[in-house]
Amino acid sequence: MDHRETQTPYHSRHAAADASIYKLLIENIQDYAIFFMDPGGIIRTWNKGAERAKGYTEDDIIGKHFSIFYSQDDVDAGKPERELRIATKLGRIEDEDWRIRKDGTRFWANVVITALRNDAGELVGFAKVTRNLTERKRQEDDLRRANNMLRQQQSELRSLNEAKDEFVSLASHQLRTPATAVKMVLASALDELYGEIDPELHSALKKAYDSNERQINIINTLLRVAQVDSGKVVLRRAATDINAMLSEVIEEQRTAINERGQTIKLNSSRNLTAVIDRENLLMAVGNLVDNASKYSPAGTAIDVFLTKRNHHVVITVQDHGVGISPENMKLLFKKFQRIQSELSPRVPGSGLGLFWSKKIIELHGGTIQVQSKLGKGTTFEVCIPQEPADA
Amino acid sequence: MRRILIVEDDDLLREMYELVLTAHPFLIDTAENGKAALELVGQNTYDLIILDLMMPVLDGVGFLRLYSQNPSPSTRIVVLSNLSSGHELDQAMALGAHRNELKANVSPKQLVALIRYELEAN
Repeated sequence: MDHRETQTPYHSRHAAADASIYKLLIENIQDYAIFFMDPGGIIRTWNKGAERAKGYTEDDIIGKHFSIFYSQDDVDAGKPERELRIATKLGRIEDEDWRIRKDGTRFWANVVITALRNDAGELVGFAKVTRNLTERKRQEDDLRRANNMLRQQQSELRSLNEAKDEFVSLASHQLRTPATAVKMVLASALDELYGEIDPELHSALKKAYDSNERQINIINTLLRVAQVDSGKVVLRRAATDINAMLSEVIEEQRTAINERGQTIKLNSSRNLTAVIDRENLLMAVGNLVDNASKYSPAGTAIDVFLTKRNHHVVITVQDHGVGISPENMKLLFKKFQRIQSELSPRVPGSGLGLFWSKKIIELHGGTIQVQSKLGKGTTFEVCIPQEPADA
Repeated sequence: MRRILIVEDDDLLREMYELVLTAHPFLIDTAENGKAALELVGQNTYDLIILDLMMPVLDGVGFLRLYSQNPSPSTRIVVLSNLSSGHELDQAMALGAHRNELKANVSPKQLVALIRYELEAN
């Protein structure tokens, strides 16, 4: 059997079949416009993808120059010719830009023009593959727009927040002003600067004075909460004698505590120092002592303990008061929550104290924990690192 | 006698401060804004200036800005304002105020104590 005789027709048959398969393949691809241009840029072949992307039929387009797909501006700027020059020089050029359909509408195209050369290296034309990426482009543009909108909203929120801070600060000032005048007048009357007053009037004026003091406290607390909420609180840390700080907290409140028929004691066996914001931490612990007293009956004792644990100072405030039920525990550190108890009707407060205290303790890198038994009492434990973590 | 200037735009508060301080051996002058205060510091030497911040005509910071060009070294300045924080307060301290207290937190007794303390510190 002569292999050569049977082989040749087999191969040529095979090559012809390959060529027709390629032609079929390219003609029928719908997602890519694939066509051939001669060296001058005249379109010589067309496929289904090209028809779909650009709207021209084969009869419309064969023999036309490919610049027909470019906008007038691009044509005027010589872009089609430039792309052919670059493809000729470098072998290919890729571009992403708007192209024009037959009906004049535009689509976002990814275009690759590849120079085609024969075995002798002579340029025989160009293959042009175009993908319609309008949908992707639209999504990208939408994303960009959404991003810009978000950025704008962020900046608006920032200015709104600044306006809010400014408002809260000014409102606090304006609210304090009349309260200050009331305070001065009532205090002067109580000090008998206007003349002697009888006990009944004294008692009435004292109630008015105390009520005004509560109002001032609420305004101050509101402002402090607004500041802690907006991240405006910057701790002014310094090495602080915690014993002395706790003594000050206790002395500040001793009169009020004694008036409620309670006692308070600081239990501390050693001097402990921590690098803290004294003014803020003093108020935070002060809130705990104030609560301990307000939610305890007469005749009970409040104990404040100071100990050291793993480079932390641990401040414990223990009372033998009404205690907190398990369901109320969850609300304890929430804003504007006031825990209901048998004593709460006579306990004034804004429902902001513990919320603020917890924030201040956390700003110090510390923790606050609470244990309580209804009817037995409550223990708050504050744990503050002696040195700030970033020191 | 130690001389004190109280700068406060609220008529009632000015009146109250004077009332509270009459029983004490201080010489008290009052001004209703920074401009009036500047005129007084031009005429007299004060041991202590108690200064509000938010005032019409010339506010506390405006007063301090002008006063600090030619301050009296023997005068203590205490800002007594109802602004508890913010730019104005920071500016006032930067311009040479020695101390600040929140007005609403200061009772008459505390005011007297504060004045005594500052005069002794001076």
